[in-house]
Amino acid sequence: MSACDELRPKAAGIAALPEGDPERESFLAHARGCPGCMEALREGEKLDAALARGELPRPSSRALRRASAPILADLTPSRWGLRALAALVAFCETSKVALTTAGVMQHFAGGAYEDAFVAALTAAESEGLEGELLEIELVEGVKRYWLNAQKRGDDAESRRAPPAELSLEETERARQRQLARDRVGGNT
Amino acid sequence: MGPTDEELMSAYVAGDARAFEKLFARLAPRVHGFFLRSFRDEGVADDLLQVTFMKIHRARQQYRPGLKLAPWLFAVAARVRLDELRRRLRLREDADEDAIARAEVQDPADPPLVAGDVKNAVRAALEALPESQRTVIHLHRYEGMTFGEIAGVLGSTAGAVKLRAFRGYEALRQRLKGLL
Repeated sequence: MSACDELRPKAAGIAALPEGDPERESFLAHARGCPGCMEALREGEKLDAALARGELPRPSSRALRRASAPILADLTPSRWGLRALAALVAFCETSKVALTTAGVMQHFAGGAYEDAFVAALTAAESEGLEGELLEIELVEGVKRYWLNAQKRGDDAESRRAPPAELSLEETERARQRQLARDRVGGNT
Repeated sequence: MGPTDEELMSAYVAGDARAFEKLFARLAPRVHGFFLRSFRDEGVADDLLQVTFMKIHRARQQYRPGLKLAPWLFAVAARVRLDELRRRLRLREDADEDAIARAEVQDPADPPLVAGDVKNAVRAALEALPESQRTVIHLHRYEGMTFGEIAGVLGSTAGAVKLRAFRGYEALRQRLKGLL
């Protein structure tokens, strides 16, 4: 097999390499004295130009919306989501029956927040959260919710009994914030 | 000049929804194109685009600032592609690029070329390539990646990727000879 037999099948690939690539330069050096290899290289260069016509159509706006919407929703949590969480906390505080997923879902079935809880359960399932892990996440979520409401000065929420899982430091900070807020508001 | 992809990614990781929107507008068509080239089906490309961005969203904290974004992003897309190929070809979970290339069924001969219709001829010639060559050529020719970067994305070696690309380019040259 001659050098040309080995080189020519590479010509199209060589032509796709950037100018100045050592492999391309080496091929060119040979092709300058070999019309057959030069012709193969020129064909490769024409192929490279023709491939510009192989661009693909853009995705539909519907496909783009479908892919971005859940992420945007996750990045911009709505007040509606917070209200759903508040409703859940209130229900858990006052419920006289044992708290189960089915029981909670039944209570909210058909209501304004049902979609939010279905989405939360689906997300928990896709994240592989179940049993103890899910409980830990929920307890953490309620704690964060209460602390955020307390920081915002959301009176109705922050005057609820704080979650039992607050650390001593968090409890003390919350107490001081409430004290300061009461003084500023002339409630002392 | 606007912010770079990497700057937008860092802002998105920090929770900036507008940065995500800008980044998504830039990158989603490219990720979609990667899947459309691979699977030649718009519906499949739509679904895999969604899966990929959900994975990116979940893994966004793993992105290291300063790292080139495109190879990181396409590595996520490439894993989604690999999962889909394994499922379609009924391969084991650990089947790699080479196993997939071996398992691929060659498509029947594509239709004859029509003189003057270069655009369709190029598209048809690309579609007639084996998936493994088509994907490598897409990343090389349309995403401008080096063979080393493609190897990193696909979990292969630069040598294997280059071999696949060169075979693909040669097949295209032969196929389109009459139009070049």
